[in-house]
Amino acid sequence: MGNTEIENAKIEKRLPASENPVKFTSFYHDAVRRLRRDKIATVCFVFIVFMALTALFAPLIAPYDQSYQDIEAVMSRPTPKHWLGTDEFGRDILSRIVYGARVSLAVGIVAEAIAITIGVVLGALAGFYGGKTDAVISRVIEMFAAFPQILFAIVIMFVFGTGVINVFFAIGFVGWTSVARVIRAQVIQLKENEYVEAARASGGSNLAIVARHLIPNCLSTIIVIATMEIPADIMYEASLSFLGLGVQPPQSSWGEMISVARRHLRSNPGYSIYPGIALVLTVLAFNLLGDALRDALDPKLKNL
Amino acid sequence: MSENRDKNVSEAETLLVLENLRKWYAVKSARFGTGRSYVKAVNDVSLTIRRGETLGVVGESGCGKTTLGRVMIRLLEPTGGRIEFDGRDITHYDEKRLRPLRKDMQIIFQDPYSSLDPRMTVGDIIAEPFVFQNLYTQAERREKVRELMEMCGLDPIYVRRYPHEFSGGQRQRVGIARSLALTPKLMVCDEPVSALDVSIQSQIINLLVDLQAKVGLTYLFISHNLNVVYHISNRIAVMYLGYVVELAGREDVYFHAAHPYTQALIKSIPKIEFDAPPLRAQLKGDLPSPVNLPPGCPFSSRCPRARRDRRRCEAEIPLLREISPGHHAACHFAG
Amino acid sequence: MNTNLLDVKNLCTYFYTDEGVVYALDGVSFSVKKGETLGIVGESGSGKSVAALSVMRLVQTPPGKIVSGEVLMNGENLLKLSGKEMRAVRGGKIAMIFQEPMTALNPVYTIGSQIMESPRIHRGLSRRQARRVAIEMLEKVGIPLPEKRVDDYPHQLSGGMRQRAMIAIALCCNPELLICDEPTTALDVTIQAQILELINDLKKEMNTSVLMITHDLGVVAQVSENVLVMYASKVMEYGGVKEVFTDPCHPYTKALLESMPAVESGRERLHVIEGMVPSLSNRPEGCLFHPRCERRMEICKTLRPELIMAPAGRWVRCWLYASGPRTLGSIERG
Repeated sequence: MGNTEIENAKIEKRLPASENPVKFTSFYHDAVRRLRRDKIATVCFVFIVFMALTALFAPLIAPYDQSYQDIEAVMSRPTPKHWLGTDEFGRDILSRIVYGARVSLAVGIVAEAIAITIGVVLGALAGFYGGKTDAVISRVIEMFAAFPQILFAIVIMFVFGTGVINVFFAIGFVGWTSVARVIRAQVIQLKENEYVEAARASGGSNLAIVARHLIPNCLSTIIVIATMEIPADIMYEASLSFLGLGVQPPQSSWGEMISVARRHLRSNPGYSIYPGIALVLTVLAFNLLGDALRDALDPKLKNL
Repeated sequence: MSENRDKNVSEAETLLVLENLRKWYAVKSARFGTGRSYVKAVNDVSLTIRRGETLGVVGESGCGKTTLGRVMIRLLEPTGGRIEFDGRDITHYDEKRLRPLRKDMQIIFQDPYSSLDPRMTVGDIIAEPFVFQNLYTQAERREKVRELMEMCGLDPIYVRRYPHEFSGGQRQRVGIARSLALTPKLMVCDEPVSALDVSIQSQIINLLVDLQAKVGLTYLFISHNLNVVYHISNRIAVMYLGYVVELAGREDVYFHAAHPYTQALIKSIPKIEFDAPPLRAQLKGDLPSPVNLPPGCPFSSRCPRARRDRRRCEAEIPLLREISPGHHAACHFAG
Repeated sequence: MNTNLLDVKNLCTYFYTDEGVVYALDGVSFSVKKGETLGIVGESGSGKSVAALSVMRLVQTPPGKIVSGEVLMNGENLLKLSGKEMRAVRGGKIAMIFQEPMTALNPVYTIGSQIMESPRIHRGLSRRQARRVAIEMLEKVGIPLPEKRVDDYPHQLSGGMRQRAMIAIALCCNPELLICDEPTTALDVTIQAQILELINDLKKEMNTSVLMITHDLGVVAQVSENVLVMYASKVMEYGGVKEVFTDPCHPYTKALLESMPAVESGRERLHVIEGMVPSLSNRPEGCLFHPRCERRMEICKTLRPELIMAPAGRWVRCWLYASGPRTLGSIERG
């Protein structure tokens, strides 16, 4: 309401390109600057990096191998030898959490990559072409979305069998619809921009326009969706493993650990609590970082 | 001097011919699910553009001037009629056959914000037409971008900057540089200065005039601002509800307007004059909806003249006819 | 005896952003007499809209803040009023209309109920009385079939009709001051002429004072008695509209008038003001206009000129007039 003047004042402020050689800022530089001022986001980011490094260097960090059995200390409480205790086979819980981070993070990232690839392609097609293409893709999206997602993933796991690779695909296939919907809406909005018409006026093909203009302009949205959806995927993996459909022993994942530990809740509560804490913290970190990214990448919230 | 310029142009060959050009958009009518009605954006427009001239198009919002500009260079598919560009009938060319022709027909947009991709550097934006047309090597492209930026009054050191670091006027210069990249023959300027401040407007208008002289461009200059159109054009077409209602040299349109709509348009401009009588509303009411055009003259519902012979104005569409040499008007009572 | 309805004295409004202080309005003074129209012209970023928002005390805080100055209405300083008292002034004594009626009107309420809101709050009318007022107002602003239109939603009206409805909302409490922020910028010329005529007629009929903010010099010439030319947060020239436009004192006013494409002159090239409006957070030293001024002198680069009374009987902020009665013409010759 009547704030154009203020807007203009702000715009004009960034303009004097020809007068003073001001700092060279791109859109992403700006976003990173704003993100770094956000303390919660910084903490979350550091935590995620820490978890990723832990997963990557699991063999170096974990005190034991994930399948090493300490026969003398079965179901032990935390001891100097086993910081977080051991499970029913005498395996070190800390080591299994460290190795489990590999599966959980890999599922989060790979499954989301699959979901985003499918979602961006189909969403962009639907949004860009509209008409019948849009109608067909939108119906498929609705069909997928109508199923309870976890049920759908379970069906896929039943059909294709258990195993980490299948977990990736099962979760990726159920997750693409939300990506597709957001990208479709954004492409519909973006394609009204005159630079799309300018590209067409100089002979740009549809494919070139989508690849050069539309998808790059969706990038910030994609990043935000990814950080918001990765925790959901990690939870799906935990659920599938909890149900015994995910990773199989002796391989560990947080979900698998919680699933097994449930039987020993009374005798060894730490067995289920520690992987649970790892899961909750990671999911929380991704969620909070996603929130912060959404704000940082929203040009409307600039300077506030 | 301007007389001279007009004369040279009138003897030049034609670059573009439009015959009964029509662009209708189908819309679902609200009441009857099956029945289709049309938004009649451009109706039976016939005109020619000569090489090197500037044809101004004025009209209020919704008069079809923007659609006309886009159909003309085949960014939109015409519903009927014929477009002949540089001796070729391009009415029904498909995208593939149009691609090489895109070099010759370019467009400058109104909004300096939405016409530049915010994620691309200015250099990449200006070089984009080369990418699509597969022209030049990387090094040549860099050199061309440099030249174009200088030609449009931009310092080439800003080639790696992003659009949001520039002011509206500078962004418009970037857009002009991009349109010039392929050295087009015809340039459609769609309200290129409407979004700019007065002091910046004059910079851009001067740039367009200079470029025309330097590169030998032909302009179709679309604007709602009659003063701007008058300044830059040789001839002016006045549009109302998709029809060209008057077409003549700029002096004829401005000082001897024959169509009542043109007359009202000119009298409605708030002028910096203090001796003349104060500004009064010239026309009552609003533009009729372009979905349901009146059967007769499109202007009959607001025309002060239509009272003279209401039945004829409301029944018969007046044709654009020559009322004096080079001066065309579409009114039963003109001339 | 002071006959001014509105006296704005040395008003300063700044915005405190990450990238520094934006001096949106810096020491602006003007006054409006009863029944008179003051035009405020300027390019984008000149502070003209912030001036209107500051008078209404609608500057978004934070980041904005009215730092100093007085806004006297009938001798009462609006800046000293409590939030509650100010709300009574807004929509009561002062009303405002905006550039884009579609965003200023609420799409989910009918035109009628939006007009009725203010008489019911400010004048305590019943629903039925307020509805009658609404229909009267719609008739007054020239909307055909007001009994029917009163129940229409904003999207059912055309752009010109919406602006008329906005005016009806603004005028239904008989405000003493009507602030128009670019009221016709989004409209076509023929519709613009209708709206300007309407504002002029209503002003005469109701003896309302008008603050007309616009970038269009022609509009100001047609509707105002006095004009305030603003540039980069400061008043550059202030005086009678006819005098200022026919014999501009300030080089900026002069250049602005010359850069408009005029039909009479028929020049091939337009006059150009080189460069662009300075950034309001990083303003040049000296006169704010000096980097673009064709007549700048040494003093302009270092010292900021004050608003002084030029011999032509109006206020000018320019060093050309600092020493004795001279005009632009005599300096050119001398």
